[in-house]
Amino acid sequence: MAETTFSRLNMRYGLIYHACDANMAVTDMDSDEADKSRFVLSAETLGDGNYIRIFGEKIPLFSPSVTSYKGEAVFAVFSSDYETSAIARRDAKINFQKLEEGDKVESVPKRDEYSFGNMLLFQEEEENERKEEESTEETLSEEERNQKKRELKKISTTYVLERCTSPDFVVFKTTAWIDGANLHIMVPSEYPDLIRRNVSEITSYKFERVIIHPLEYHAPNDEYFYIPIKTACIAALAAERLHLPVEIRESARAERGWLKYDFTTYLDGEKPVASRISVEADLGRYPYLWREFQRQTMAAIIPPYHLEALHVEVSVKDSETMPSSLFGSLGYSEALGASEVHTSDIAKAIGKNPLEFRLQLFDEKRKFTDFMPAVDNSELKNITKSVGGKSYFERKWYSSFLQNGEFGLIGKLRGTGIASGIGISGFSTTFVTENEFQALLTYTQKDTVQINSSAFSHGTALKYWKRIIMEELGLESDNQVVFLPYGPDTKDSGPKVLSRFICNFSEQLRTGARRLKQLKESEKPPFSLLIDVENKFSPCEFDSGSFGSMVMEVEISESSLDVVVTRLWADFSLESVAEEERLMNAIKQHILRKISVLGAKLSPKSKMHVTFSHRSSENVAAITELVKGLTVGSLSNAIKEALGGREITLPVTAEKIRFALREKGEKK
Amino acid sequence: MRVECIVDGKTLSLSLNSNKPLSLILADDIGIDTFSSCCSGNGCGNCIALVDGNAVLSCMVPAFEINGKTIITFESFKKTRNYQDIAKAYDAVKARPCPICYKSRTLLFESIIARGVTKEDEIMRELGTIECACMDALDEIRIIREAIEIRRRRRVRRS
Amino acid sequence: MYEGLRSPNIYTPKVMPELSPIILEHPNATFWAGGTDLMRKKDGYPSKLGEEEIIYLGEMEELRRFQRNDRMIEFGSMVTLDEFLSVARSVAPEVLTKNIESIGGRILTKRITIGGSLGANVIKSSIPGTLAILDASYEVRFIKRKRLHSKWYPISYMNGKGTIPTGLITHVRIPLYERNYQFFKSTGSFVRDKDGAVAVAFVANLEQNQVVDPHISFSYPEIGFITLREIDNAIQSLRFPSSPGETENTLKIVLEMIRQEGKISPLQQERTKGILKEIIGEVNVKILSTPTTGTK
Repeated sequence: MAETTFSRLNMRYGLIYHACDANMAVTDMDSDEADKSRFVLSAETLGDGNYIRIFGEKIPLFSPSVTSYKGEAVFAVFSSDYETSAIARRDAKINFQKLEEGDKVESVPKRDEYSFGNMLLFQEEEENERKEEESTEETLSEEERNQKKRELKKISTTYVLERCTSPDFVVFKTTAWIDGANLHIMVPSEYPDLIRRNVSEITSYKFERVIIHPLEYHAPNDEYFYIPIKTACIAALAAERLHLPVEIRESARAERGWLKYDFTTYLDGEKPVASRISVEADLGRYPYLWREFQRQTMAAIIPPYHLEALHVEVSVKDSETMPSSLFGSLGYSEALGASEVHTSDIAKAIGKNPLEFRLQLFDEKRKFTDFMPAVDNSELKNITKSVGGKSYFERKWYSSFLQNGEFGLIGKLRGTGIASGIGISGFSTTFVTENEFQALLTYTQKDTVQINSSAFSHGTALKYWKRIIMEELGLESDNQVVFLPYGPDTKDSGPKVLSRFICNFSEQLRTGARRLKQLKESEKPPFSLLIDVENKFSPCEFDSGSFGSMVMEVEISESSLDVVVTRLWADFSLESVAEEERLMNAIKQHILRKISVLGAKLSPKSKMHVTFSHRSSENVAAITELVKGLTVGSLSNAIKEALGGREITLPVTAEKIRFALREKGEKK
Repeated sequence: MRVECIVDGKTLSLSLNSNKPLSLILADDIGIDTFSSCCSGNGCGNCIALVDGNAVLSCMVPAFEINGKTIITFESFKKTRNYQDIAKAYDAVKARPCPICYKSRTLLFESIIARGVTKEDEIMRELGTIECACMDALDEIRIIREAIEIRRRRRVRRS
Repeated sequence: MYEGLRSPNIYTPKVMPELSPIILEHPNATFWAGGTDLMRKKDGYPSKLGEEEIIYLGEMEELRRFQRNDRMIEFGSMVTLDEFLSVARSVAPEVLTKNIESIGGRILTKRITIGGSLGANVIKSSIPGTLAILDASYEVRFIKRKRLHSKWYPISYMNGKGTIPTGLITHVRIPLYERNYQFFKSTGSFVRDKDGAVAVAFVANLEQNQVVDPHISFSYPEIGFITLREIDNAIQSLRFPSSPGETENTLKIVLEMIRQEGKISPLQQERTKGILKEIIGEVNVKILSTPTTGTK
């Protein structure tokens, strides 16, 4: 991080006032602007320039005349210390008026569909309607005759993931100051380049003059994607207008939208033959990555087994909640979890245990679709069998099946759930195709290596690349490898670094470092080398991914009604792995955090058994989506078993358990 | 009110509101950005500092209570040999806290290790202070026991 | 030092005679023990309407003393929960030590004082309920006609049963009765889960197939604790081992009585029922496993 060149003596400290609800007309705002010791920024002060852009979506920086969502920034107040700003914020007199239902503007959902085969053959209601419209003299086609002979069973699942929020106690600071012709911003951010673009649009500073000093961050739920863009713009505006350094303190938070999955699968005996899947997603106000969400959901939701017909529809709507396109996932993991719940429902409906049914399904190769390549499921079958064996899944599942959601004398409900699936590695996304990755390596006279690229925002990747350069060049201290801040010469980048990029770039970085070493022998420093990363993908281009299976056991005691995860087994088969220990730790943290976000708890006696194997390949394991998806799926299945098949939405709470057991009562 | 204290080895004389929480004093008045959390007393556990050697939730300690006290944050603790014991324990057990709670959890471990607590139920009661659910309980217990052993061996070697 | 913000003056009396002139001069001053309750107040800092003056009790030796004899233990209100455990664990009733351990680790118990947990307002603690069923009493020092007076009250008065003058809690006394069955359980966090948290404390003597002299208290973060003689009687009237039907009946009666005392959420009701069931189940097991003298 470059040295900061401002004094805190004249600094202004800012806090943001958040809207208490959506659809409130801001009718009167008085923040005592007559008091010259305070400076206020709001929609009124910005006029037409009151917006930022994220992937083409225009988002107000401050609430315009009507608040868009609860928590939206209404104004920011700056003064000589945080205490004064806090009092000013609290004392601000704002009148809000809730809009009538008729005055609200409804948006049209964005839909995407995918299908193959003739789904109509499998839908009785639509078939009957069609027949009524046609002449009765028309004879049925051979296909229709054959179809009529089959007695199909229909299994339906509705799975809902309610909106959830990351813990809001994590705070961060955004600092902005002017140094000559440059505007500096110090902020933790997953997408620094997007900040630069927005700040240059909203202030009078050109793109080249906006310098980002990235701070370290940890964003398990992508807390540092959306909010820092706003705080950086607000801080930049304040610094520009006040001609003073400015700091804002704000909580880093993220939300995952409400998701509903409706599955209907038709079975011929024990074999699924057709599926209709409908996904509704509420990604909050201004869903800026909705197309990406649709693609990733399609990739995960399309079943891995062969079907004669399939119809999938993913529809995204916006609503009066915080923009929630990211939450450590762009839809893949939730969709994978949902499809695993449906798979278990199918198993139960045909009288098989979920493990047995999955092993049967994985006998076939996965069909190629526009969203996923054809994949041999044998590896998946092996892992599922292995995890099922280690966890004594069948015995435990039958035991909870017999308990049937009754506390009885034990005073506890127990459930065991399983989930298996494929992860994605090197997923090409909409925004990645718009950017090119470059890095300028410079060997200096002080025997240090400077790297100029905006790709280095991910902490883990940073450390890994530092090590590569140190190894190749024989450098002793990691202080000899320096990542320059994002300045006028910084190259563009995408957001959180993708695994394929890590792998490709790592190899090119290694090659570049070796070339630097050669140049060191013939050239006098300083000398530079430009690395141009081959990183243009076609949409939905994949490499082979990872496979995984997870079994989870839960317990619900009658006295607390809390869902406690007692045991967990997980096995993964991955591509290449750079650091095993770090990966194991990351897997466990993802699992534990996901369990916590979904409302379950762990007890001191909870045990986790996680293993993975890997094979050398070009691809680095992208474990996140798979781990999270399997956690969602296995936990949902386990809770459902514990409740005797009663439906419940996640995140789970003790109150929901109480309601399901005492008031809803209906088991499946 | 005038408060005199030692923070990370530096003697300071600060002019503060008497009821200002220590967490905000460290962030705003001293400029030590050691905490990434601010739950204002709701028990997240991510604001642990050592006051006269005792682990405290700094959001619960008002300015008037730190007068004449010695405060250690993670920033100075990480330069000590005691921290190295814990870092070695992380390596030995192959588990470490996530970046959000790393500093607080490490100081909490230190407060447990310094007392030589090895009983599982006692350790678990202490560890319930931090809300962040990033670590397996068994790993935490193993880290503490390992660190106690590492420290014992270090002290035996020294003597 | 901040615009519009006042820094409260801190008074640190060392002995009781120093206290009364401070209270007389600043009748609205806030007593500050461990501060855990006060520091949790929403918008507590910074606040224009914050405490005018603070009387910090941390330097009053008299409030840190502990004494015991065969019949009772008595301690000052500034004794922290951690100090209480280290000094009195061997003599204190098990139900109280379990209650204190359920509150959290030493990082909390070193700050929370017995007096503070009795006087907490932002979040009610489960400690008063447990002390109530142990027939504990507390001393209040209050100003009357410009003089400091002192009076002892049963802890059970704290749930609104009696009129207590506003003052400073200085000492707590717990009589030591022999009880062969003690139970404590807490579910949910009193800090983070105000609509769901429940704590139940129960003491009794088990004799043959009966529970004698039972006392039970239910604590909830928003309303404090509930103890009722009628509830104690309902439990006493149960014959053990109790059948599922009798258990269910008793639970219904008890829950109805609790509902009449204070508004608790459906989740709290369910959890209360679950914990009571656990108690009855445990008592059933104890009574069934107690050897009886057989006759030939």
